This record gives sequence, structure tokens and C-alpha cells, in this order.
Amino acid sequence: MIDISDFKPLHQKYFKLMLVRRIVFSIILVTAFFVFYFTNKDKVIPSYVFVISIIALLLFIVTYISLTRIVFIRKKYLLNDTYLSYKKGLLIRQMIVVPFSRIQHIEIEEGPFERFFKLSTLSIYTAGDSGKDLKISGLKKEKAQEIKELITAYIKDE
Amino acid sequence: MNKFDFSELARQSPKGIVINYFFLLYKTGKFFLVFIPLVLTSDKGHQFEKIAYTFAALTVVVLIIALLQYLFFKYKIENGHFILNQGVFFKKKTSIPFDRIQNVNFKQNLVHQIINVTQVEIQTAGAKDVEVSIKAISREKAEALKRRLQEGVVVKDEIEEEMVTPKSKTLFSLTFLELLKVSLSENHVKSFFWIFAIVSSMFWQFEDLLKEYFSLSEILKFYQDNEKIVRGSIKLMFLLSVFVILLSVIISFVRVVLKHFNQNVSVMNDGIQLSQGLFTKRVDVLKISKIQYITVITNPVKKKLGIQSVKVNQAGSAKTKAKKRIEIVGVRNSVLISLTNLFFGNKSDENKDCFKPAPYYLFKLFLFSFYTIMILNILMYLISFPINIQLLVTACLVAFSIVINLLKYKKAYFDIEDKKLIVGAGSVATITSVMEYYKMQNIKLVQSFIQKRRKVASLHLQTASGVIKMPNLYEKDAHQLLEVILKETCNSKKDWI
Repeated sequence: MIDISDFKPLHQKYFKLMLVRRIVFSIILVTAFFVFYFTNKDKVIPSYVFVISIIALLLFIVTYISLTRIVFIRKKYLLNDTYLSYKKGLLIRQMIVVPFSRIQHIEIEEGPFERFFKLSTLSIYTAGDSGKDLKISGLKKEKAQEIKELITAYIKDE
Repeated sequence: MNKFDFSELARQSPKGIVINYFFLLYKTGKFFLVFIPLVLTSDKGHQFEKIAYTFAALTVVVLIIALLQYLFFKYKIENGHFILNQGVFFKKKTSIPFDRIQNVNFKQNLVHQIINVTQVEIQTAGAKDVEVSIKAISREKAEALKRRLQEGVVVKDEIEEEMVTPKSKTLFSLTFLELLKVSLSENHVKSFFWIFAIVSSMFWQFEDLLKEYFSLSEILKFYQDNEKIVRGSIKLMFLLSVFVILLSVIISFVRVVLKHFNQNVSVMNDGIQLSQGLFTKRVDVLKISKIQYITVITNPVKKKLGIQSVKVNQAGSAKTKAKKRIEIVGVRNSVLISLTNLFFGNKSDENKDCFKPAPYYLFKLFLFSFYTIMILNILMYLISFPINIQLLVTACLVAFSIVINLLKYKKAYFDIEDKKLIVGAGSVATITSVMEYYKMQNIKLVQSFIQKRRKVASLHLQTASGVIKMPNLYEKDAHQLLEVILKETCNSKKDWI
């Protein structure tokens, strides 16, 4: 019933968005590191500690950014007549399936970065107590609206 | 009623700025509370001036944010939906269909009362917190809005009320002797941990007090000396443990009597009514349609006595969740059968699918025990515990964990039977959960990279009253279960509530 080949990738622009987000985060991290290093006057930090931590930081950033592609590829969604499914995860893979008949309400959100790329995030709520059950980022604005209307129509028909 | 028209996007009352302002001020104030000791301890001279400036700047910023929040907060009603647009930088559009609205509540705190406005909270079923709240509109308008929102809901309420006035007949009630049996067969380890938690929290508070008068090294020395004294007298330890066990039993007894005194279960036409309690008597009405799943708990002692506890999990919003999980104790086997028949209908002998977790589950259980015992050993080594006691403790723990883990693996199973999911769990106790699986909210398949390599996966079944976890199934079993459950849920015309 759940066919793996039916899963659709997110919009290509979302990869760029993820990349931008990760780069911005890395820049903040590096800045914080240097600010901490140069304002710390109480104790003299030995230079080898500085070198090692810089290398560790760079290694982290390189892996963090180079993993963007695979993280993006792993995120996929599936829209069916009766349910919506979403897959994600690098080390721990998750697949969540929400039947339309259990959906309480739907929200479309746009962050500042997303607005620039004309993307939106679709949040789906059910009566489960885990809050937001399903959150699909990186959908084209029109696509998110389309899915929302489809599901809303289904709920009304019931 | 036509005085207020909600079809156009409208802002809340301008007084909402005040509410927003105080709310934000309260929030930021709470955040900066952390820094107060820091400020007080530093040089007081010209610091004070700085603080005053910072505070003034902060209040102005908060005022601007409150104003912006007010300007960007708009709501309306459009073909059966309540629509809300909010957010200054992060835009958020919410729309709630009328028939999903469970409750419309009014709330007034002190500020609301002073400026004479009402906060309206719209709750939908099961969601984490209050879904949507309009911070400030006039009482009249709030009433009108409530009427509009509940146009669809009111009808349902009236029907429910009719159903509540019932002719009920008692299914069973618990005598004091049976209550005694229940309390003796309880899990006393739970009570033990209760004592442990109280004693240790008292200890920590006491330590805080001590710290003010002694330096840390002195305290450490004091503990070490004390430890020697305790270590020296095994007799004292023995007496202490007997005392603690006795205390645990007494606490279990008190707990059970307080909660379940005079427990009485009666059947009504659409559910059961449960009354119990010594000082605070509680009456709970369990509607069959609202029951999400039930859990039957028993242990070897209870089995001998022929009784078990039944926990009934009802749907409800997060705030009332604790109240919605209701426990019936001392249920005899015959009563259990009539209860399950009542909840799920008579059992028909349809085909039954049985699943067991993969042996990887057992491996993982052992791995976890191994790590725990290792860490404990390292700790014991670090505080220089006498080596013979350490060995004894480790041997006991190893034997204990082997027995527990084997029991855990043996008792874990997942059956699909007659549109019901039956999940077995427990080690010493036997825990059986029964659920009509079409009532699930969403289902999640989780697989770590190690699980992927071993071809196993876990399933998490989210209900309106907690998660049912099925760990480490074979991959193909997990997929089969997922499809069976999903198919039934999508095809079922029955509602989950």
C-alpha cells in the first residue's frame, strides 16, 4: 500500500534554503568562538588548545554542510487519496503516516528565509498529544496551499 | 446577535495592546529574573544607573512589540471556519473548522478585569495546549463569537446531557477485604522509590543549608567519615532495609485506600460510571466512544488472588490528561470479561496474526543492562567502595538483569485480532494493552541505522491518549502491521471519539 517509489522529493529550492541556513549557523558558531576566545582575558588559553579546537570546529562545519545534500534527499513526502506521509532522517529514519480523517487542522507558515525562496511549511495537527504531528518544510507556496485545500475538502466531506 | 459581524478580518479591541504589553513584560521579566543575583553581587555604585537605562529601553521595546502584535493580529469567520492571521516576522495563518472545536472558554486575569475585556480561548480536541486565544475583546463580542463558533457544537452537547441521566446498574464494588488484597499485591518498589525521592530531596535541601556554613571540602570529609560509620554496621543496614520495606508496604496501602476506597463500577447505557476515594470522592463517567485503549496489569501475586488492575485511557485535551487516565483496581476475571465485552463488543473467533519482536530486542535489552552495570561499577570504583561488596552487588545485578530481560522478551508480543491490536509487555508484572486500532491518530515507523542493518524497525502508534510503542519488530512485520492498521483507519467510517 505504501510504495516507496511514490514518495516525492521536496522542492529543489529547499536545498538552497537548507544550505543558506546551515552556512548562517556556521558563521554564527565561528563568530561566537572567536568572540569567546578574544574576550577571555582571565585565563591564558594555550595555543595548542586553540589550534585543536579550530580544527575540530572546521571539521564539524565541513561535515555539517556537506551532509546537507543527503539530509535533503532523505526528506520526502507522499500524498495519497486518504493519507499523507513524510519520511526523513539520516541516522534514525522516520516515516510518519497521518490519515486525512484524523487531521484536526492545518497551518501554513513562512519564515523570513522561506519567504525569500517562495517556500512554505505545512503543519498538520491531529488529536495526538505530541503536538504538531507532521511538519513538511520546503513546499512551494502554491503546492502547500493545494494540499491544504485538498485535505480541508476531504474533512468537510466526511 | 447580528450586532457583530465576523465575516471581515478584524483586530481585537485596542485594549489588547495593554494585555499584550503586560504579558510580554511578564515574560521578559521572568527571563531577566535569572540575572538579578548576578547584578546584585556586582559593584553597586554606577551599576544601578546602567540597570535603570537597560530597563527603560526594554520597556520601550516591549511596548513596540506589543503594538506590532496587536496590528498584525486579525481574525474572521468564513464559511464554517474560524480564521486567524498573526505574527509580525513569522506569519502564521490558522483556520479551524467549527466541528473540530471542542470548547470555547473565557478567561480573565487581573489586568483583563481592570480594563474590562475578556480573553477567548478556543480548544480543539487533544491538542497540546489551548489552540488559539484572542487576548482581548469585549465581553459582549466574546459571547457573540462563542455563539457563532458553537453553532455546530451545541446540538452535540444537548444529546450528551440526555445520555448522562441514566438508569445504572452496579457491575461490581470493592469490599474493604478486597481492597486490602489489592494493596498487598501492589508494586511496592514504586512506593520504595517514592520514599527514596522524598528522602533524597530532603537531603539535598539540607545540604544547601549546610553549604552556607561549611566549605565544600569540609562537607566531603564529613560524608566520608559518615560513610565509614554506615559501612561498619551491617546490622544497621539490615534493620534499615526491613524498615524501608515495611514502610513501602504501608505507603502502598495508604495510597490504594485513599484513592480506591469504596470503589464502585456501574454500567450505563453508553458507558460506565466509576466512583471511588476516601477523602476526595471522585465520580468519573467513562463513555465507551471516548475510550482509546485499555491496559490490564497483573503480577504473580495478583494472579494467585485472581485480580488485576485495568487502566482506561480516554481522549481529552492535554490539560485534563491526568484525569482521563482512570484506574480500576481489584478486577476479578469474570468482571474483566464483561468489561472488555462492554468496551469492545463480543469477541468473535476471527483469524489472528501474532508478532514477536526480533531477537535484536533481547540483544538490545542486554546491552542496556551491561552499560548500566558498567557505569555503576565505575562509580563504585571512583568512590572507593570496598571491593567485596562491589563484587557482590555486581553479581546480584547481573543475575537480576538476566532474569528481567528474559522475562521482558518473553512477555513482549503484538497480536492483531478482530480489528484489535493487543500489545503485551512487562517483566515481573504482565501488562496487556488492547486497542481498536482504527482509533489511532498517526503511525510512525522509526529505524536507526543499526536497526536498518539488522532489518528491524519500531512502530509508534499515536492515540488521542498517549503512544503505544512496538519496539524492534522484524522489518517486514513492521510494514505489514503498518499497512493493516493504516488500511483499517482510512477505510473505517467510525469516528475515533
